Amino acid sequence: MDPTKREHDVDQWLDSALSQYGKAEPRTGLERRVLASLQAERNRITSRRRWWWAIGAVVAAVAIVAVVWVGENGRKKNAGGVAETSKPTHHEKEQRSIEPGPAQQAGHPAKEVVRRKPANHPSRELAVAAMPKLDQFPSRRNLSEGESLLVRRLNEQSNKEALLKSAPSSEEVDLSIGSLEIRPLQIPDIEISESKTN
Amino acid sequence: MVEGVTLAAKTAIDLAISTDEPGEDLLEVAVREHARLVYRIAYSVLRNAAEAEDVVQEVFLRALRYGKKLAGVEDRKAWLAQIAWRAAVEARRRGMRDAGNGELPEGDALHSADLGAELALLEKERGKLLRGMISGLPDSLRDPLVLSALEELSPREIGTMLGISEAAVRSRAFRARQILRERLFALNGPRT
Repeated sequence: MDPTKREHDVDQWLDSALSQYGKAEPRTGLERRVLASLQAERNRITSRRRWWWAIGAVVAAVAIVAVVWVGENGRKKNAGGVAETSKPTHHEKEQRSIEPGPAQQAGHPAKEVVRRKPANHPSRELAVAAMPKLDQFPSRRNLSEGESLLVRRLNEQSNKEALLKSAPSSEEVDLSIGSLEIRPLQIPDIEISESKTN
Repeated sequence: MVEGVTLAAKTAIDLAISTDEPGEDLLEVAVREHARLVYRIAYSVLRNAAEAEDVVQEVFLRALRYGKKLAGVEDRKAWLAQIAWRAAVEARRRGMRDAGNGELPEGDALHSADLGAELALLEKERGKLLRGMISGLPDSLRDPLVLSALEELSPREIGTMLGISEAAVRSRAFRARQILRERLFALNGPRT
């Protein structure tokens, strides 16, 4: 065989084979299948994002409610804090005197304070909630009997001191020569004659 | 009342969601124009119709996830071809790992349905021979040759895909072709 013709045949064969190698036809409806797949993916992404948005909205709402609730609670505590610490109830007194807690027995003052905190009592909660928020902190309250006695005593004491201060004392009076009364020196009579005679 | 609120919320969420999705028409157009090219690229690497179609799906899903940035792509054909090439090479590596050998899978498509039975058999035989020879080439020569066999891609686009210059594409494809010729001569000439 002529080598030139053989080379030509080889080239031709190679061209044809490579051309066939690159020619590949997909099954019919490839575009339709790809578009359907894209649509499904889009729907999936949309639903997933919708869920995320919904979850985000719920979380935000819960956070807002929690913040409002905590704020309200704090305000109520501030308003009712003084009232709660004012006077222990009769029931609490009894409980304290009868059963000392384990923390008290162990001698932990911090724990004792925790134990002494009164349990949630519905009536107290209502009373605290009913009280308006006052401008002054701590809010004003009525004095106890002992406190009023002390205040009265202090007032009396201060009145006395004021009176004493207002009255001029003898030491504070201005001294003048004219006002001084100098009495003549009186020498007691000594009975010399009698002693001499004796 | 509740239904109205729910509907309004849903619409608002849909509007918020739809803002960063790529233009539907843009992607549809890309699918209609370039799906076959993407398939051929994938098939030239994988030599398997089902796997090539999987790669086509993957390529367009990646384009969907690319979002609005798709509109900013200048040469969409070259961009998709590059993604297709990478995806196909990844799939081939996975396939090799799973199969446990480095041989290319045998092609399963009969390209010329018009041919008679004898010619079809010859065609299949020729394809098998060529595949065997191509798979024996080094990667640096095989890739430019395989991509040059696709009529839709210019040497410049192939160079962009492979990260080499246009001249390098031409010279490597030529060298690969020379090697194939020598092997064919060694086989005592073509069988046709």
